[in-house]
Amino acid sequence: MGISVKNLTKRFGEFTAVDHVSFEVKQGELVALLGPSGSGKSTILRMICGLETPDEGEIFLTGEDATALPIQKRGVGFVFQHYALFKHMNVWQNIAFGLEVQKFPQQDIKDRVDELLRLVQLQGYSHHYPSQLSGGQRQRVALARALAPKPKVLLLDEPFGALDAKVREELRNWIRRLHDEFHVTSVFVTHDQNEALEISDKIVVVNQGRVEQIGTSQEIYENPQSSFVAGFIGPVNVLRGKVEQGKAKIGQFEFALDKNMLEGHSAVEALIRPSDVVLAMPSEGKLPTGRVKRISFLGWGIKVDIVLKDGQLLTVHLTKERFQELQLAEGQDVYIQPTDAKVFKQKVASQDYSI
Amino acid sequence: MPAEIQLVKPIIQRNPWVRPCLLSLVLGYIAFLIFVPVGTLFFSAFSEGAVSFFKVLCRWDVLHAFGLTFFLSVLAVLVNAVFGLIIAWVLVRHDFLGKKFLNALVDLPFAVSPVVAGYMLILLFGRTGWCHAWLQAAGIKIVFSLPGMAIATAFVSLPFVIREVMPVLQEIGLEEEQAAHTLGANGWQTFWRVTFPSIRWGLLYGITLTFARAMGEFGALFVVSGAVSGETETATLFVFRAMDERMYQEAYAVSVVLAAVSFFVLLAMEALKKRIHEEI
Amino acid sequence: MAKTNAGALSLRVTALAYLAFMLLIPLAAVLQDGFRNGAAGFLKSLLNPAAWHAFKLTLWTALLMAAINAVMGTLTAYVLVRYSFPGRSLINSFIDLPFAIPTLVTGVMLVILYGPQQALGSWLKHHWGWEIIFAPTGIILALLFVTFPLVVRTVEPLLMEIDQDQEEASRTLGASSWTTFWRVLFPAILPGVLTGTLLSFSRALGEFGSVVVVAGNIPFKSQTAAVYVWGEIESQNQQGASAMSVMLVALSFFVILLVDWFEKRRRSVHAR
Repeated sequence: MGISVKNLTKRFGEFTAVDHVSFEVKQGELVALLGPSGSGKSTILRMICGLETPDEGEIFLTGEDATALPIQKRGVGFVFQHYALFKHMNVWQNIAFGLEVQKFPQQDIKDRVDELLRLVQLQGYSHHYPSQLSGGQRQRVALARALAPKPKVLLLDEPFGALDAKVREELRNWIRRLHDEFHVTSVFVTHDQNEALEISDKIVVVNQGRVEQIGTSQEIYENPQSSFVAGFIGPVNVLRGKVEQGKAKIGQFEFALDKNMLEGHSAVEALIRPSDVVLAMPSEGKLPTGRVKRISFLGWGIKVDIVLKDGQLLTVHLTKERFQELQLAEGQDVYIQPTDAKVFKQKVASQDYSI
Repeated sequence: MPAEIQLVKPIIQRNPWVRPCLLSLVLGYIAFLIFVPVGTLFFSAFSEGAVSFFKVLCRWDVLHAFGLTFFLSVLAVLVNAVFGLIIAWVLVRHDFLGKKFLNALVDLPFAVSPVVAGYMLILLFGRTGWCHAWLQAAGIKIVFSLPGMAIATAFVSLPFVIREVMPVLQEIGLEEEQAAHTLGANGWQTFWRVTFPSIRWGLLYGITLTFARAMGEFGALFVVSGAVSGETETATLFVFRAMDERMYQEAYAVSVVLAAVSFFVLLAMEALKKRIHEEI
Repeated sequence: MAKTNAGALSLRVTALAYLAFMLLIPLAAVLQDGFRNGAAGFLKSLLNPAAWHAFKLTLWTALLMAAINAVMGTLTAYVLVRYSFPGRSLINSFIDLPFAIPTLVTGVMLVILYGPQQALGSWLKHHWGWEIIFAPTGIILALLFVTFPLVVRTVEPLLMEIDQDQEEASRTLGASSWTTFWRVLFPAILPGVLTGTLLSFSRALGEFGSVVVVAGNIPFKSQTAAVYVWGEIESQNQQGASAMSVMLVALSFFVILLVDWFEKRRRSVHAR
């Protein structure tokens, strides 16, 4: 039964870092705890591991109540952001450490370490010391070390936070591969939505110590339940407007309202993904609704910044082919049609997710 | 505790006199303050020839004094290394009421004159002391005897291991230890296999300082020991008695040996400093 | 932080027990004895003429020595960090010698060099009327030797840390060497100078081994507070010994606490 967390709460003095958080991770799942800095996600992870003690709440690991168990007894593998490799031991000794300490038989230790070295593709490096390895290699050793004593649960705390973008991407694949190989129930903490979207089976979005939404990558991306989630996952435009005659009127656009969500609110905002917008040259029946302010090349596509008639800004992502078709130029008038928008009540200025 | 000394060249000095002036001033000062006295000591000790120098060293009371000094120093090192490690650990890794007070208290031996240190022990264990009655009953003699000298030596050399290990413990941080815990290691295993290898140079440096301080202790022993030649006389106590009795060659000879040992201690200190710097 | 369990608790108890036995109880003993006859008795012992003179002598020699050490220690650190010259490494290692050498041996060395019977000593006395041994000058010399590394070693790391960029910027803005030193360099090393000076002052208050040989035990002339305490112990005058002991410990410890507090503040300011 994987991991089960109920009502977890942690306070540091006056500050509540984790506020009655509950969620479940099924056996064998790879789940991401996603949220901005300071959202409490690392604290949650550390409580599951035993590195922090909760003020309230319970933790169950594979069905057993682990809330009061010391770290050593929980059978949890932990990967730190800064690797925490044992500086004075070589790669082989690092990976073997957990096995030795838990008194596995010698032959088993040898076999297991060799197996893991092969898996993380560091076979020739067993006598190297951490200081002789690159960041990516070190993290692979840390992964191998955590997996060696066959933990019930694997926890990763921003495992790629200290690495370059390119290395991060490679390591994402490692995690997925290792997970497919071992099927260990895993939770990893990250603030990088791409990471979460790409490799996890399920995402738990955390903000200010509370769970905002739990779902698969697709669910979270396409059906955000709050403007925070919508804004946090993926790039988004925020357009402001009012409720008029039962519809959300934002500039020249009109969107349907989810009556239940917006009972009693008159100021609303629409969150629109830059890829959810269709552009066309103005013509009969397609009146211009905005002017192109700036065009930028993004490598995989084109970013078009548009000023709407009411002065608000809209960013649109186009594929290169589509951009060629339109032959857009800066200063041109253009017809805009959003294909999807999420309407929420207007948030306070402090939470601005627009690009 | 400083890292290896790096040369940081100054921006071009506009005034060409500054460098030679400063250099001669400083080097002259160091020569006058340190090198000349040390040189004079060696010179004087050998002024009546090497043979007479070594004859002095072979005197029975001198040999005994050296032996006693060595014994007390090793004892102080053992006790203060073990307890020092524990105290350093508790002060860095634990949190409890009164921690700040205890941390400040560790510096006490630096603030206490050696004479006062010896005197404190007399107040506790002497004839009119707090513990005298029990000691009488148990037949244990502390003052004017070896146990008192051992305690005095341990007292004055107490802070060094603690003060050298604490910053290293701080520096290496908790994560490796936490990682070891997640891998199933208990406190002792974690300490031996993960923490100790990282702190050993700091520990060794602290031990070196402890040894040097213990070896050189005089004031406290002077008060606490009664300085009975052949029984409770250490090397430093011998030197003082020799000076007092105008046995100058004897005093110089033993002083030279003590100074020579401290050179070796110094070399060890410098070598260890480099190692520590490399670690961190 | 370790969760409190049996192992952690026993470690803590061991640490506390050792410190209590070795430090707290002896300290309590001397405090209790010093105030045996109340504050009045305490003050009376301190204010007796020999004691008071010894205390004053200790204070002013320590202060003067600290001042000299502040200057020469800083200059030494500057020269060692900034200049390259033959023997630099060797000399840098020898700076720590006073930490390794027994203080008694220091006293012996100074007596050999400056004793009234010696060539140098009698020449100085004859030509300049300078008495070194059995006089305050000798005390200051001994203290300077014994505390020499303290200022040098606290200033060195600060000098090594200083960003050359700051000095270069100062120069490009037109400042002279002197101005750059005063306004850029000196403020950066000042905390180290202060710390080292205070530490050498504190150390000097209780210095015994070197002083007792160099200055002897002449009341009202060259008897420092620590030597006075020894004298009182010898003559079995407990009240006198205890009172002066308490005074010395209080003063030294206060200075050390000051240094600790100062260092902590400095580190937290820098961390921001």
